Amino acid sequence: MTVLPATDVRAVVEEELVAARAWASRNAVGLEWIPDALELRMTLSQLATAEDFFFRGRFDDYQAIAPHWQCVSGAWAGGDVLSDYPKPQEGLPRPSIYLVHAVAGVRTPVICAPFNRLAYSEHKGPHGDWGAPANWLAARQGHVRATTIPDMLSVIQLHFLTTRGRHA
Amino acid sequence: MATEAIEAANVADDKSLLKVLVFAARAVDPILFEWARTLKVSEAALEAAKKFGYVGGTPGLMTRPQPGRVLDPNKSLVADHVKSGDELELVDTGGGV
Repeated sequence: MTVLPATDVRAVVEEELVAARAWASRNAVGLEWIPDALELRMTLSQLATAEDFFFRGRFDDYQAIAPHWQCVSGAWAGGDVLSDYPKPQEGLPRPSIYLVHAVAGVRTPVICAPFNRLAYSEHKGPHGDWGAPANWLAARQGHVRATTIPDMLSVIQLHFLTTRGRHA
Repeated sequence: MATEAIEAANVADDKSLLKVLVFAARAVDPILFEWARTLKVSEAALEAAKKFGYVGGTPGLMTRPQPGRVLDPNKSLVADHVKSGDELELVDTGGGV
């Protein structure tokens, strides 16, 4: 359910995009904002395989509700396809945000972080313990914390650096 | 005599400050920090996070340019090979799941 007018959301996002673009530029990351769709597209190239991965953020109702992050195909479509998601390496110092969980018995990938609407059980995510996605700004001990768009991009990229290949 | 000179140099070196440029995702411009060489990475990260306006989370420091290495929070800056003139990126090192 859309709560906030798109014009208001667009203004908030575009203010945060100033720093996001600076971050993307200094880290050689592809970033594209589609204002009419309230959609942000980030392309990351995996070190181990040189393959590109495509991250799509949707920002309807931002910041009242956490945005909606998925890995998608190179055509910027889909979102639930396992092989569109990077696979974490074994033995990482911290649990990866690139998680696969079961939804009605089906292995379903998710970017599991408080800043992703899809991590909450209300949106078929694994976290009933985080409350509603409207509470996404609350601090959660031990979990990644990102409360602005550039900080989300930084977390997504940091965890991406320790992936190799794709989920299958 | 030579040993004394080396020890004196080391003491002077320990007292000198590291000048490190720190970037953060949410800020367009970096901030220059002057830190004691023996300052723990975790303490430096916390100070930088506060300066950039971060509240909560698990601040850490990563070397630049990309792909960087996340510094060991339990080591001192000098023990984790940070040198004056280095550029670091402030990152949140919390886990997922």
